[in-house]
Order: sequence, then structure tokens, then C-alpha cells
Amino acid sequence: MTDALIFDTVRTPRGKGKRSGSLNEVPPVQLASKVLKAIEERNNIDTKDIDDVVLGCVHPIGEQGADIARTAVLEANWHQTVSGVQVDRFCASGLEAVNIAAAQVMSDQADMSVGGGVESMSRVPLGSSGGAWMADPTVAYNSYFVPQGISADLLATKYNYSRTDVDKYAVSSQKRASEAWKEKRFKNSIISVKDQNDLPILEIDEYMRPDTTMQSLGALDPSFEKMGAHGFDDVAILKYPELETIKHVHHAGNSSGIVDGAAGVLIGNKKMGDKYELKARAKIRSFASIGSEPTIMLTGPADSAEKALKKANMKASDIDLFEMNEAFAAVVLRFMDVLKIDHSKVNVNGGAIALGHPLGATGAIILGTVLDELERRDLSTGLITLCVGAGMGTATIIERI
Amino acid sequence: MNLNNIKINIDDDDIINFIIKPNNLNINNEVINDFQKAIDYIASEKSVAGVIISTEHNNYNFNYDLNYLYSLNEPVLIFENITKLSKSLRKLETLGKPIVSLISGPVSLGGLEIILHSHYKIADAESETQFIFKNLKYELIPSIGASQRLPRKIGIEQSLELFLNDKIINTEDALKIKLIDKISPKDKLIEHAKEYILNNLIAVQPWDDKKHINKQPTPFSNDNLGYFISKIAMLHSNTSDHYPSVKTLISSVYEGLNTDMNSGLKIEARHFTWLLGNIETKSMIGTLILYNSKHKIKESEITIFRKSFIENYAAEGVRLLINGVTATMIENAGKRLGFELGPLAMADKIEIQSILPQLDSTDASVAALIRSMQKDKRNGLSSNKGFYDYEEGFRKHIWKGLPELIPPAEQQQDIGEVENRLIYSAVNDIFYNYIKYSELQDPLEYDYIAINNIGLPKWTGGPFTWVKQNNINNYIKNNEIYSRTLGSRFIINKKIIEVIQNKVF
Repeated sequence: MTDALIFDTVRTPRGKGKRSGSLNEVPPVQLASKVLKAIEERNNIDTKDIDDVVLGCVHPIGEQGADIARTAVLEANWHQTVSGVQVDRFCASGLEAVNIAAAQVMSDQADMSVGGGVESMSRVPLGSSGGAWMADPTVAYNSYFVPQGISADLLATKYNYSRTDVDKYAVSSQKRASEAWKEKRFKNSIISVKDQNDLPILEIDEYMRPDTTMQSLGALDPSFEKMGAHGFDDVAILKYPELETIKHVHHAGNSSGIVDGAAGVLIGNKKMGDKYELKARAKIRSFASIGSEPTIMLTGPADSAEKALKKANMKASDIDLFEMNEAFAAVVLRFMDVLKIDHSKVNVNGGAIALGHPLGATGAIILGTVLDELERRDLSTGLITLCVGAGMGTATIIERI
Repeated sequence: MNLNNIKINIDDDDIINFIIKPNNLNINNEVINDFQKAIDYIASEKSVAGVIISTEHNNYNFNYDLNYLYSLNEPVLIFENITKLSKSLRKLETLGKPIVSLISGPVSLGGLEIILHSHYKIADAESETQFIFKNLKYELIPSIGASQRLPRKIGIEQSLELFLNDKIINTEDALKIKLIDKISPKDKLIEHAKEYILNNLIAVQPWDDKKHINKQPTPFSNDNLGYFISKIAMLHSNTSDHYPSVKTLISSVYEGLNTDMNSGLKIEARHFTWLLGNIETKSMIGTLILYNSKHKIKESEITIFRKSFIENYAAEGVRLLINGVTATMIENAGKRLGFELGPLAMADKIEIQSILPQLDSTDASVAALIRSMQKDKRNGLSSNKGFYDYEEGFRKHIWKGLPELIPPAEQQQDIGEVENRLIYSAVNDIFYNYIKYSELQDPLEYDYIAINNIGLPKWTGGPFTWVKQNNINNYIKNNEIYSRTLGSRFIINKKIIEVIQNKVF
């Protein structure tokens, strides 16, 4: 099998995902095409050598609809032979896109592809694309659908993570993210988003709250208590009858932030690396997606990580750094407990609780984050994973060369 | 034209009077055929200006003849006959000519289904006109389009709330929500109908009108999407996994409102056909609708049954606790079955010592637990402590000290097994009292009482129906297994088996 080599990782800063957020004025196709342009310029490649652009996007409707990947290729003025495809594996879409691009190279069906993702949550709000899973009564009944926040609280209840546990985790994410920014640890991947006059629009991850403390988090009301009281707690308990009640521990401060952003990963074979004298920073060792129980929904990361480890013939202890999307604090706590890994190896530069989670883009963003950090620490292996809606997980293992 | 069920005449203004003849119309094969003949005739009379639908008797109490529907037996026949009626009425609705309905007296679901085909609905101001929405939880859903037309006419949320909540609305309210178009004095009904017809010689329903089709409600509008998502959870939580009509109704509305009327009608009829064949529906219909006898059971006897039933239910919960099942599982099992309360909450409500008379020699540890709780003044709801802790009469949570007193088993049973224990024990308790007090009177009567007065969940259709629907051999076998380890309350009296096997119901 041909090695899928990672030549470059690029991402935008993450803007607050609301009208007042800095990236709200930038249409998502522009965020995506700016990433593509940066990949072209930084690596000095002729884009006709790129076979495909695979972009994750979770709400592909309106201005994110009609295959935003191809639309972004056109807007980036790439060669017309570059095709584009949009993929949706909910929160892992960005990582899935990278995996698909890698698979194209590994199977010799492409020499060079881009995997990445985009989501403007301020312009195309969460939930915009509807879906049978939650709205079709037959499906929602039969699958015991509950919204993700209820699943996160269900997970915390079932595995005994208290409000203190999840808040502590959130504080550490903020501390780590703030320190990472102070030390400019994201500088290799991040690009500044500029307008048509080259005026900067956003250069930093603006969602962070470095002054977060246990006390400030303690003042926040649980986000999903009311929703739970209107039937969803009961539905969760129908599925998990061993629980008397659902303890609502998650809130805005210990859940991932709603933000805008885009990212891309340039992946190719050795031939392309040689042609453009690109340094192969890492190779994709393995990847896997898996389904898990859909009501608790968020236990997939450990399952997908184990599946990917098995494919790579590795153990969790062989991984130097983990990057696990902080959808909700309890999800990361559970992941660390199942894989028996120490917090010192996980999300060392903070995660989505502090920096935000632009749904379709996050998987590609955090792959870049962990690769940058492996290089900085001169370590070798990294595992990236995300929990996924409707009960799934996706994981990718990379190894520096 | 004068058929058994419908009379048709054409007046001097070339307007057809479409008169439904029977009192409390029972929709059966003949009625379906009469509608077809009448409407085919109307369609052939090209020169008429419009149609006025009315009833000879002062009501629209129309219902399906369930014996007829069940005699069809095969889903394909049920679907075809329902669709036949629906297609006839759809033909009337889409003739392009104005159809007006005059509404006098009570309107049931079947009547509503017919009325909704008209373009203009005028209610009689004088008679006791009202629209009766029986709680569909225990019944059938519409089958000739009410789940498609009503939401398109008055909105998705408004119509589901009517269907699901036992609402009865009068003419003023019906006018307010635009279910009807006008209220008129009795002697002016015809005049108003003719006025409408002569002013609207071409009439098209909003759901068929190309100009208005984009304004039709859709499940994926902002308001309706949120409503669907939360309503599904609320309904699921209220019905657990029972009462299939609720899921069927909301599915019919959701699936149908995402498309046009013709597809919507097929969607609804398919759901209706499926629902008719569902075991729980059959059980409930058999006991709640088809069984109409006057009850001979004395109130005092019902009181004995109910008291025993409740105490037994609570006692079985405590026994499960002693067997190592967690209190949470026991309570959730009760809720999932659709009992009013979990068994332990019930024990608290009736005072925990009330279960003592239910116990036998095998229940020493149950008695010991009750006594030890009594010593601790945990007598139940009245003392604000029992199996639960209470605050001013409201349940807070299951008593935290319980697992120390009765340690739960490490390996918990499947919730389905806990549910089975509770339902078998409950059914057996009713049978025990039936043998003891009732001298083998009509078992259907006891089915009716069991779900309406004693507290057995309605979806069972009553103990006799439940055993029959779930296969009597399973019932015998499972009781044998239970009786080996759990005692004599699971030994079934042979007479019960005979009653169930011999009695046709």
C-alpha cells in the first residue's frame, strides 16, 4: 500500500459563531477557498496536480449547500480538473474528509488530494439541515433519539462524572489553550483571514476565555436541564432504565464552543513530494470509523480509536499524543478512562471547550494541531478522534517521518 | 337517488343535496359502496352548481364499523376498502365545484373526516354542535384524510394537540381556529350554503390550489421542526413503548405533510391499516370499544379488586428489591408498563405496611424490610420518607440508604424481565380475585373493569385479553417457571385457563 504523506496542514482562526463573531461577515465558501489558496501558495504547487478536494460540512444547505468543496475549488481559482466532494459524518466530517483523501492516495487512485472541512455556524446555524433522525417520528421513536447535550449528561450520569469533574476538565482546557497561544504553538498551521483589500479580519481564536475558573463556571446553569424535563430525560431513561434521573452537568463553559472556521490537509504520495520538494511531515498509519449506541451517542471515540490501533498493530500506549475533540467534557473523561490514558497526553494545547468546534472543520483542525505539537516536542505518533452524532466515532493515527 | 345510507336530490338552483341518512353512521361495506355510487352520480351530473352535505339526523357521529374492518382480516383488503372510500370523497373534493357541509350536532372523528372534504363548513348555531376529539392514545387514527387535511387547514401543532388531548370544541372555538367557516342560525343554513356556492362556482382546496401550495404547513419549517422534535420525546415519554396509535398518528402527519394530498392519503391509510392489525390496538379496541355491555359488577367488588391489585403491585416491587433488583429498575419497569406509579412509589403512597397482608410464608425478608423501615419511621408518603424521600409531598429521589439495607445484585436482570414479573403478578392477582369473588362471570366485563377501574394499563386490554393475545401457552409456561422459585401467587387456577380457552372473545 502506498504511504499517504501529510505535506501541510492549514486552518483559519476560529471566530465566535454568532452574528457578532469576527468571521460572521465571511461566507463559508470564502473560508474554505482561503484555506485552499494558502495550501497552494505555501507549497508552491501547480493545482492541476491535485486530484480531489474532500471537505467535511455538517449543514450543507443554503450557502454551504450544493457541494461546497467544488464551489470552493472554483472560488480558489484552482485548475478546473480538480474535483470537489462534500462529506458529512457530523462532527467528524473534517477528519473523515482527511481519511478519504488519504485513502485515495493509499489506493493509488490519486497522487495528491486535500482533505479538510468548513463550517460557518454563525451564518448556517446548528440544526439547519433538519434530518429524519430527530424529526421523523418513526425514526426518532425507534432509535430513542435525544439531543447531543442530553447524551452528554447521560454519559456523565452513567459513568459518574460530577459537575466538579467536568468543570475541572474545562478549566484545564482553557489554561492549556491560553498557554499554547502565548507560546504561539499554533503558528505553523494557522493563517490569518483577510478581506479583498488584504485587511485582516481575524488572526486569533477569539472564543477563548483564559480567565475561566471553577468559580466562574460554577455560576453557569446547566444547559440541557429544561430540554431534559420536556421528555428527553425520560427517553434516555427508557433506553437506560438503570438510571433514576439524568444529572445535568454540562453547560456553555464545559461544552465545545460554537464557532466558524475551515481547515485543509495536503496529502500525497512520495512522487508528488519529490516533484515539489515537499517535506513529508507524517504519514497516515490507519483510520477507522465505527457505530456505537446512539442514545448515549458519544462513546464512539474509544471504540474507533481501538479499531484504528488494531489496524495499525499498535496499542494505546504506543501513542505519544492524543487529540480528542472536546464536544463535552464528560466525553473526554470517558475516553481517557476507557483507554486508560493520562490527561498529560491528551489535548495538551486545549481543545474545543476553549477554542471552539466548527463542526465540519474540526477533525482537520485538530489533526494539524497534534502534528504541530508532535514536531515541537519531537515525538512520533498521534491519534486524533472525535465523537459523532447518532452514535459513531472516527479516529486517525499519524506517525511522523 | 335514494340509497340505504345516502339520499341525493337536485333542487331548482341546480344544487345537489347530499343527505346522509342513518343516525350515528357506522361505516361499513355498504356505506363505502353508497358513497361511491352517490359521488359517481354527482360527477356525472355536469350541470350542477355545487353540493350541500347534511345529515338527516342531528349529528355527525360517524364511526368505523370495527367488526366489519376486522372481518376483512387481510391488510390488503382493509387498505383497499379504506382507500375506496377515500378516493370517492377525494373525487368529490376535486370536482372543481363548491362542496358545502352543514354541521348540526356532535361531530366524531369519522364525521370530521367527511366534513373536511368540503370547501365551506357552516355550523348550526342552535343545535348542540361540537367537535369531539377522543384521545387517540387508546383508539384508531384517521383513515380517510383527517390527519392530512386538518393540519393543512389549521396547522400541524394545533391539529395534533386536538387529536391527542381529549378535546371537545364548540362552534365558536372551531370558527376561531378556522376549522369551520361560518356559524349560522338553523333556518339560514341552506341560504348561506347556496350563497357560498353561487359566489364560488369553482372551488379548490388550499392543498390543491397551485397558488397557495407553498403556504401549506411543512414539518421542516422553523416552528414545526422544533415542535416535532420535542413533541416526539414528550409522547414517547408518556407512552413508553406502548399505545402505538400515538406514534402512528404523528408519523402520518409528519410523512404526509412533507408531500401532497394524494400521497398523504396513502400514507395515512397505510398507517391506519398497520395500526388496526397491531396487538395492543386489537386488545384495546376489543375491550374499550367493541365491548358495550352494561356492567353488573358491584362497586364494592371493584373496590376489593382495586385494593388487592394496588397492594399486590407494591408488594411485588418490594419482593423484586429483596431479589436484588435495584429500586431504580423496579420503578422504571412500572413506569414503562404504564402503571400510574412505580411499585415502590405506590407502596409509599398506600403506606408501606399495607403490603403486609399480601405476604406469605416465603416473604419473611420482605416483612423484615418493612419492619426495619417502620422502626426508622419510613412509613411512606405520609411521613415524608419511605422508599423515597419526599419534600412537602413531592418525590425527591429514591432513599439513598436503601442499597445498604438491601444490597442490589451485581448482575442486574434485563428490564424486560422485571416488567414481566410485575405484569404477571398483576394479572394473576386479578384472576385470583375473579375466582374468589366473581363466580366466573363474563370475563370481558372484568377486562373492562381491570383497565378502567382497577389500574391495569389500558394497552393490555385487560387480563383475559392480554393472556389471549400473548399466547396462553407462554402464559402457562412462564407462570410455571415463576412458581418454582417465587411462590404460590404464580400457580394459576385451572379454571382461569378454561375460561380463557372456552370463552370466545
